Amino acid sequence: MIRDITIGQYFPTGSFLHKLDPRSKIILVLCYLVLIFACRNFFGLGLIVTLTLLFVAVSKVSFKLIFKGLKSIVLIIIFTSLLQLFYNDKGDILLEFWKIKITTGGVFTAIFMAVRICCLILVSSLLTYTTSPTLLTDAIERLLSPLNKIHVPVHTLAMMMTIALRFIPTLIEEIDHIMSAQKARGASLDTGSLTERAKALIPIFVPLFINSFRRAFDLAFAMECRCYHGGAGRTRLRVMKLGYRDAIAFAVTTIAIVGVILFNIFFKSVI
Amino acid sequence: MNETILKFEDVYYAYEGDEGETLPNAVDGVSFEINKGEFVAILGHNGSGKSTVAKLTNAMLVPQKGKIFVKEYDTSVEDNELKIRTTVGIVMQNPDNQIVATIVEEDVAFGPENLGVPQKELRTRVDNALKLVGMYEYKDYEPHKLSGGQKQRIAIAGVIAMQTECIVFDEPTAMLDPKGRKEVLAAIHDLRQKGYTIVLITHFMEEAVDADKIIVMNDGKIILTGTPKEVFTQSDLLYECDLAVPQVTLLSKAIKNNGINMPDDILTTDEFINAFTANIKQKRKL
Ligand SMILES: Nc1ncnc2c1ncn2[C@@H]1O[C@H](COP(=O)(O)OP(=O)(O)OP(=O)(O)O)[C@@H](O)[C@H]1O
Ligand SMILES: [Mg+2]
Repeated sequence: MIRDITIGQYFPTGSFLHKLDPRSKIILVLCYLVLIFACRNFFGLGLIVTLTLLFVAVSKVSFKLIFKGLKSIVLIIIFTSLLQLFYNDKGDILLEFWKIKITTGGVFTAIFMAVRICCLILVSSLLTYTTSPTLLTDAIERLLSPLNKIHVPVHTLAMMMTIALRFIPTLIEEIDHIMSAQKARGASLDTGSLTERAKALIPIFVPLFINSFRRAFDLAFAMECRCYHGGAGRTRLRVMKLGYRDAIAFAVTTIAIVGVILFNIFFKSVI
Repeated sequence: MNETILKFEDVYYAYEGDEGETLPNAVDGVSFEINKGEFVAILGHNGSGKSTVAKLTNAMLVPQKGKIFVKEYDTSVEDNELKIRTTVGIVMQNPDNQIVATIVEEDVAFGPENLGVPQKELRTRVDNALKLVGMYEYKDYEPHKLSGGQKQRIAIAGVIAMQTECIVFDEPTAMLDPKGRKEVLAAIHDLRQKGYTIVLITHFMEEAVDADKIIVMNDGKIILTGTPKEVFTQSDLLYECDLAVPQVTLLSKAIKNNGINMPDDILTTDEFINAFTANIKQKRKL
């Protein structure tokens, strides 16, 4: 069941989005996240939804996978939307019974909320779907490298992130193994009261921790054998170069930004 | 002509215990020489100091007494560290714990990246190393989607990409299934053909039978060195050190003890079959 999580995974399909410079992807995603919250009427929202679906299509990652990722947060979306629906009392009253009052304002905000969260998740997961984790951390490292000047250990942090990403699947596999091993010895993990279940987790996490320390020592050894000595003087296999694709992506984003601003100015905001 | 690539001169090493006390010597007066291009196997039971020897070879540990030379470089001199680690590389037992990056080719590039190799050359080095271990098609894979044998070959490629001349394998097949074992051994033998110097630390006697030289360790000491034939004929001594001689060797010895004429130095199934059929044919003639 732990293996079903798709958020944060990478699907190499070699699409246009995959070939973008990861640095521009990060910046563009940040732009879209701001944009998603900046739009205030249905025209802007429509533009954003269209663009998001366009990106999904361009990424060539299968729709099934993408919506599987969304499924895990459906509950959150429904919950926040319902909250908006019942608590917002702006606008005309559509429906009123007992103590509940549903207004147009409530309906609009609920729709906005749901669509925004979906777009938010889609756009940010597209970033990880189309960028290998190493490239991603690499890009973050390069984007943050000015911070080196004020003595933030950017390279070290990026390396820590890479290693964490590298070992997550290994540790998940290990949890699976340990769980099976403990179950084989008669441990029951999904019955009993909450405290009993919490207690049953101890024999899973203790070996996990011990093994993790062993792994950490081994890995440090392997890294040192391969002459790792921090970020100084390191070269990179992958060069990052802005290309015509990045120009296209930036152009599209600029149009989107201008579009949303114009819509905001010329049309009434609904929330 | 015979250039020495690795030389231990009466080396002692003892670990420190948790309270700072000195533990008994893990390596206890070891001397040997390994020439360029040789394939040397180191055998020994658990805790006999094999891994410690491996760590001493590339200055990850420095001997408390005695000297170790990699080519002409003394491992106790700190400035030699880089030279030493680009000459001798280590592949460890656990395939999961020595892969650093999240994509195969980036992991292979990790070593040379640290050395500051320029990007163009990095590319060719990585591609060549991956081709050499037969993993080029997997260069975009995530390591956790590979089998143990494949991961081990990636680790080998990572060492090759640093252009090391000598590779020390510390029980590289101990955690693999038979298929993975075969793959890794095939890769090691390929490297041998290509002229790499190979030190194979192993539990499996069968992996040592075609070595140029075998070093047998027990409790931190070398108790036996020689060609496979010289070593495996000493089955009693090996038995004392908890080491099992290849089964065919034991079998032919048992047959010989039953009064059938068999040579002492049979190490592989093929040799056994040849000797045995020769025997039978001779009997028929009589
Ligand atoms: N980090 C350490 N700290 C303390 N003692 C150690 C350490 N590593 C190894 N030893 C001890 O040193 C001795 C030699 O260990 P070493 O790992 O070299 O043996 P080995 O031949 O590789 O064994 P194995 O076949 O189990 O890998 C053992 O007695 C071991 O307990
Ligand atoms: Mg060992």
